Amino acid sequence: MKKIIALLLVIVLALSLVACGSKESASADNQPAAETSTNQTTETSTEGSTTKRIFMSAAYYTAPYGSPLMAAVEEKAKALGYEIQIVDGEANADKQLTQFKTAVADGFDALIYWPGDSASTPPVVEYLNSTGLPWVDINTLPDDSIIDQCTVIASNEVQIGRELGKLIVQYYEENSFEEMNIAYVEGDSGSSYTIHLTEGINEVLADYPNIKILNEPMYANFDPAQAMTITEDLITKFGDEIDLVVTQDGGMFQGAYNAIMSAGKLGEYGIICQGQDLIVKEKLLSGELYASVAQDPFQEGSLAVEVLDKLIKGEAVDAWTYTPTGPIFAADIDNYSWF
Amino acid sequence: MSTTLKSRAKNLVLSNGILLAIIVLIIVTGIIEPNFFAWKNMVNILRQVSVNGIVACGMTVCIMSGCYDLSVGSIVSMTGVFAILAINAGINDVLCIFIGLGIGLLAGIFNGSLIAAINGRGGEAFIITYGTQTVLAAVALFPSKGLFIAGRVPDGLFKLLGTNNMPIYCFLFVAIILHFILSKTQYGRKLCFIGNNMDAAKMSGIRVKLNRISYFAISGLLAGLAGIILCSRVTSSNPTAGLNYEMNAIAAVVVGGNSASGGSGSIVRTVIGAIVIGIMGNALNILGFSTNYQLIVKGLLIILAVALDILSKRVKS
Repeated sequence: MKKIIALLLVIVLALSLVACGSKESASADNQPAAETSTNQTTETSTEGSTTKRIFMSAAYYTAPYGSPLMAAVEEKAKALGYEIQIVDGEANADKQLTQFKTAVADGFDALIYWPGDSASTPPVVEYLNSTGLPWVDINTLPDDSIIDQCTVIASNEVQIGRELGKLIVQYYEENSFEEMNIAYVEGDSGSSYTIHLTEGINEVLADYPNIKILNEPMYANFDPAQAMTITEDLITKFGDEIDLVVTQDGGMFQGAYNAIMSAGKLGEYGIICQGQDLIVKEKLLSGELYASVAQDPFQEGSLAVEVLDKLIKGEAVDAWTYTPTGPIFAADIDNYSWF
Repeated sequence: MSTTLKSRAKNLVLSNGILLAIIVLIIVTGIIEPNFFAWKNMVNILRQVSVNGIVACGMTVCIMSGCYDLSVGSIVSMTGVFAILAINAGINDVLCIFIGLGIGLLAGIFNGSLIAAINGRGGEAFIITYGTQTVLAAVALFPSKGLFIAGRVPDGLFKLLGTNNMPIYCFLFVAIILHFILSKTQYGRKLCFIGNNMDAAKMSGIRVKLNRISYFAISGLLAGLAGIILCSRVTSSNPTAGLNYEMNAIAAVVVGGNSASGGSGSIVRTVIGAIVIGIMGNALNILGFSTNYQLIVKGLLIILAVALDILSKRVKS
């Protein structure tokens, strides 16, 4: 019996490997970029060794923001005639360093580095520079100590925070509050994104002593369910003291929105978030979300490959190419991509 | 006499230490923040723990049998993704629930069959379910393309599952049924027997393989139900929504006072464990502790639960 099961398992595995292989080759040309982005894929060209190859290690391979970003990288790379391989770096600097070493040994011509956090970037950056290959850092900023050694394509995260801060102030002024209290739901306690956004918000709010963040830092890890729980608890604690709820991304906005709705407070609290998720677009249109702040993964991914292409060709590039940011109101939604 | 009293008190503290600690936390929180005792907040807590509680009930069955099911988090993610995609595709909402439950059940049967086929013990089950966790997490990524999916959930049973107090009723329903099965039927006694000594159970004529498949099937089915309730609650899903649910479920089982090594256990204790963790999170949120401190307290609570379990066993022996 055991032998039969073992044999069956081997046959199933072998068949599935064959099936996967044939499916990939048959559908590679027709598959949209967004679909291929969810795998660790190597898009191999049939034109031979003249095609240059780009390797990307993505820290947040499974994050909702990562999917459109990697799709844009693949699409642009393809359009510019490159082969591209993207692997999951699991936000682990040591793993990413090993991946890059393997890629260099494997003969890749250019590299894209999406770090998990700023603090762990120095050894990876040092290695990337030692290879002599063109490379760019995308999305997460490198550590301040080595940022001048890098070509960066990223949003200015502090600036995103400032934009959120400006929206809070705008909401405060539009509603003529004497004092305004905010329930603030943050992303991930260790990430530079979360830290920088809060830094930007605090910078703007420093000039407005009548606007107060009610709660201690509460991290929902960019998870709608956790954001819902935190918002429910904040509503229990502060109730009608809350005037505005602010979340650091669209997923957490969805959780906070449901908590507010369950508590029957929809319309009583203003809501502001960051993000270009489809749910954000929908709630902007319905008027339940006051405004959002832009950070476009499609644009970021595309820009990264454009800059890398220039580096490969030996052209001059800016040390930091900013992914544009700014406020999004209901009237602006057609000017932005949504995912 | 005084020695007997002392030993009884010691036993009481060791057996219910976590419960006593949480009662103190409840009283302190209630004094500092009267809103904590509000009926609305109590319902909130129960709603918040429902999803983890349902997963934990399934996990209890596996742990009682001497195995851990690490794949439940991925099953939660996967069922959520498929159910919400089906809802968005306009499929009947009741059918979507069955799709979700079916996916969970199949994943559980797959786990159980693999483990039973190789006659795996706790260690093998740990690794196999870790493997399926990884596979299923990837399966959830394909249809969602790694993206957060907002649901267009129409009024109906699917929506109802996540609204008002329905998650609590589902949790209690699951807990009561499982409690009855595990404590009042032969099936429950066999489960403890298998968890205590699988070889002896086999020699006594119990169909160990079939039973073990059923334990993982229950765990998968309940993870599927949890996934559906979760995405109904937040009217969305994302392929990483179930991240760490397996660990939270194990924590609820252990914090409730169930043995981590199997062979015995109770759904009532798991329910208490899930509620204790929920109360702790809610109380610390309301007291204004940042998430970082909450994680420390949660970790210490789990360590304390395991330590008390070991000490209690020593005292009893």
